Amino acid sequence: MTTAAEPLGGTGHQETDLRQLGQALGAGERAPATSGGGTTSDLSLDEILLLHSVGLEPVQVVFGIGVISILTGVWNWATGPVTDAHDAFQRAFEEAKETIRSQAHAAGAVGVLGVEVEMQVSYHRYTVVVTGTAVRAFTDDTGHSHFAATYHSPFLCDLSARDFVVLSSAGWYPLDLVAGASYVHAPRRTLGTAMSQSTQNVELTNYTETLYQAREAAMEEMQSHIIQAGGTGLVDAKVIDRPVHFAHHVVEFVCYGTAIKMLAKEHTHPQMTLVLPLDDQVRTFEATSLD
Amino acid sequence: MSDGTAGRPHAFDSGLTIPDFAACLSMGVEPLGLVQGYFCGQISNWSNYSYDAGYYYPCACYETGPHNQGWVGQVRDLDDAWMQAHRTALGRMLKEAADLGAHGVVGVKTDLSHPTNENSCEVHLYGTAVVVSGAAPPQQLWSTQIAGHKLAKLIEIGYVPGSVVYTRCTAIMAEGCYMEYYGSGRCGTGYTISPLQDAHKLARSRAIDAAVSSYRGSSLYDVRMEVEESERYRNTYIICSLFGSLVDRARSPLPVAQPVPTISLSQ
Amino acid sequence: MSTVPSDLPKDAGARLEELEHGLFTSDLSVNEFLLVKQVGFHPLGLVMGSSIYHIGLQKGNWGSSQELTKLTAAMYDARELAMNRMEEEADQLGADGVVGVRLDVNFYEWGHDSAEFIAVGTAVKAEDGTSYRNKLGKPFTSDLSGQDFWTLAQTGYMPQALVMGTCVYHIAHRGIGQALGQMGQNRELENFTQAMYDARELAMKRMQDEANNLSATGVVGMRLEEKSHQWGDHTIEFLSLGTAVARRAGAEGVAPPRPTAIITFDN
Repeated sequence: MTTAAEPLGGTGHQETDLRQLGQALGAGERAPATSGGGTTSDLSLDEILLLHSVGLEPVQVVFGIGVISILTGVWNWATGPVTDAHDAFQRAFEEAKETIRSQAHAAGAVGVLGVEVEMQVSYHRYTVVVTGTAVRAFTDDTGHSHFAATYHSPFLCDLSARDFVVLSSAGWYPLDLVAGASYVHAPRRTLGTAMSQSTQNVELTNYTETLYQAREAAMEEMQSHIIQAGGTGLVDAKVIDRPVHFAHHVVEFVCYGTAIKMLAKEHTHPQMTLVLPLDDQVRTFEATSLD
Repeated sequence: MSDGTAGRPHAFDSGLTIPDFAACLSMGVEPLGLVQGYFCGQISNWSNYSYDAGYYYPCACYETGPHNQGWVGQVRDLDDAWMQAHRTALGRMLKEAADLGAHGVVGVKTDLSHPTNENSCEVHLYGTAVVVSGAAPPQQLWSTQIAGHKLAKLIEIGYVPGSVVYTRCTAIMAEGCYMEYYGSGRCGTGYTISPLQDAHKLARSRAIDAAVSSYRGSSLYDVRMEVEESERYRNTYIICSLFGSLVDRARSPLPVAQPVPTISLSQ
Repeated sequence: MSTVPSDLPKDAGARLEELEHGLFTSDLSVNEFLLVKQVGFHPLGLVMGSSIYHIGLQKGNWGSSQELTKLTAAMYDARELAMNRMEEEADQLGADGVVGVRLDVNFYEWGHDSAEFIAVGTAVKAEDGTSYRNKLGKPFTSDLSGQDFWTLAQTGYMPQALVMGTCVYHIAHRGIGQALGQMGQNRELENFTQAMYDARELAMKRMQDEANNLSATGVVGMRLEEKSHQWGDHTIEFLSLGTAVARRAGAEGVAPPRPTAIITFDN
């Protein structure tokens, strides 16, 4: 692993003259086909520009899908965790990640950015779809590559290209997508306790414990996956916390994100310019009739 | 198609915003006029669908003799109709631009809808036709959804615009004994439901491949994929619609300057 | 630091131990993460506290406006339980404070008259080893985003605690006699006005008392939320939330940097 890259283009980089760019457009030049043919990506132009500033370019839109079965009857009212839903989720997630990684590998990519994770649980199956853009390090005319990190297998990152560029400039690099999930039945109250609690303010300890346990178990699982991936941290964790849409007595808790690791020698703080946009619009008087 | 811009040699109209207009002029790219392409059609009732070669799944029950094992394939009819509609509308827009003497169209916007019912399709494309002053007209007009400074940046990193793109792929997963067993939960937890997985993959990969191969340009970016899943007569249909932009590489990539990080103080 | 406080579930113990050994998790965005680092803090982990609380029935008198003290107590105690558990987890990690705290109330179909109160945030610790705990020796809490935390730190102030005051108020329905007498006239709805005034005052005063207990210099980012939850329109909870702040020792004379005024040219 080499040291963190210097800003590309140097501080004296001059913006190309607009006139020259117009002429390049009119000239209709086409470069000879580079190895691997054309590229595809779901990044916007802004994101491609940012990637170019760290020596990467998009290669291909890649995706992975996992559809795993869930045994009949697990959603009927019971107590405790719904382990089948959890197991199906983890398998579907793994399957989707494996597919997207192999597509990225086949495209010669160093990793996948902007991964969008869609999870759908239904009665008999769990579907996980991951879609993103595989990126590779480009070499300029002198054969020099500007991208600073080396990976043994393509990384997966749900951060946008913009966030990736900002984070990697500070010295942190993504490793893998990690997730933890918990499905648990809400406990039942017996009629006797229900009646006696009606006028009191009181904590329902068995409910609290059940949901608390479920959440902690999911976060713990996500943490152990971070360690397995070799990461030291996670930012921008996404949390889904809601009753299962077709079985309201089951609460679903999923947390996922990208495991990251500091690969540079130390954290580099971005040189920030503090600005105050003076863009507030004129406040005009609006008259509406009262009907 | 009538050319609504005839007889206006000097004045132009354009859908460009002020900053884009300023940047285009600085680049020597001059707007000529607003151009559009439109197509509206009726698609024949899709009960006579033609299937693309599919693949079958192993039998998961004890029945012998011919029975429905289940398979995955592509239903081409609607897809071909929609893609043809888009190509026609795009062609009409480029023709209007060519009649004005343009080299390409910038700021292209695409609208698709069902004006009357599910079997009808309507495609509307519009943008600003431009000419690059002092340059020879290209073999084929190019089109792109960006304009102005963004276009300048695209060229700076070594690309030139090719064409706007729309493709569509409908994958069908026909119900059979494989799905009945693995898709109903009777098999247990943890089994990969391959037909559904493969149908999803088919829809997406064919939409991407069609985009790369059927339009001008070699690199596809700004891809937006919308996937819908629906059921009809016990078959599951997965429709993937893809919008994007094709560009060509003009020269090898060069690094660009890093942007300035700022933190804004107003909410 | 390895014994789990008795109030937290056992899974929390294992998870927090992992975080103590250098692993960190957070729901801060990438921008917030970098800004928090710039202030000189490092995130330790996601901390969470929750409590499912049954709220005792209490009905107000139809004709009079009054505080429903039982409901106020319930809302307050439930949130305190959730926040305290979150602080315990932060304490367990050796944190200096918690940023980006989110306080949510969830109502579940199966929990009649009960609600779940959740407090989630990211525990942080100063990298230079200085302690930033508040006057009571507990990690500070605040609902400031990473950006606001950075901006506050530039002024030389640091958060002390998320302070809150709540008041559940029942607004009188107007008596029929009064209603008839007021038809056709322009009048202030005194009942309503007075009730809203009193309720807000109570909520804000309680919040200020909490801030005073911490010897805070002031409260920033204050907001007042009004919710009926599930009680109908004449019963409203007024929740006043803010972050109590105090000047950091040795920070007298720190001047926040002047920003560059800019005009952005995008639409």
